[in-house]
Amino acid sequence: MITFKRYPHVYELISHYAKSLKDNQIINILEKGVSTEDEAVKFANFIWSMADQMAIDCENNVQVFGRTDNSDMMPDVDYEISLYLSNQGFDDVWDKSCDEN
Amino acid sequence: MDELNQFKSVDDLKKIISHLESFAARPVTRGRHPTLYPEAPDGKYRTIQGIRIIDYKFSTDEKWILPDNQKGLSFSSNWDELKRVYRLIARAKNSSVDVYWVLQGADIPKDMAFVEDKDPKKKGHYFLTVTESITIYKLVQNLKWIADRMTVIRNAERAL
Repeated sequence: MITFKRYPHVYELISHYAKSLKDNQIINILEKGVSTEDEAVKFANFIWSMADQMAIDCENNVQVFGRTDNSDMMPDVDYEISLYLSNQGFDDVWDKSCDEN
Repeated sequence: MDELNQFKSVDDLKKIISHLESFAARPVTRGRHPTLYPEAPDGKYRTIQGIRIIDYKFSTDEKWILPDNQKGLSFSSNWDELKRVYRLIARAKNSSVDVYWVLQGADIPKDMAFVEDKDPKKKGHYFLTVTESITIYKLVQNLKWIADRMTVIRNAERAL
């Protein structure tokens, strides 16, 4: 299982959206970790899809973790995703996904 | 408003940031406080008086903040990180995002300091730490004091 040490709620946030968006590949990646570049790209791109869904949830007053607006968690998301992908050997994937999404 | 204090695109923002030396910045959704969080009563991101328990080392009775040079409010001083965080916040809420910044060497309360993340992969990421035990009330006052002295670069048009 992927572990985010400093901001563990990032795992809960991604897990919530992987389940609500029914993305089984991301659910699997959260469980087993990223080991290939394809998985790293898929994982990075999912974060942007998650952000889009968070905006939709916010507009529709959908509560996630008891809050309608979780955008203030995004600096934590960036911290953990950039560190995790870098530690897995995919340093550039997260930066590239930022430019492409 | 001064032209240097507003931007219409990420490129504009990059130009403004490139003129700053040793800055520490936080992108914030418009209307949010730059250094304090809205109330979150539960979860790992729970807050006490606007401070997330995850950001600082609290005493067991949660009345004191204990010094730790790797715990504190998160700031960016490198462009790549700032750009990513800015874009993520903007995407996660359809609202303007402004960028608040302060010089790392600015006159901040003596019981606080900007300290760079020790993780070699987090160069340019800073924590606004406490350097001695202080009450949570004092930390709140410090964070408000620093917020009052931060400069805001306003998003004149939502930039993505």
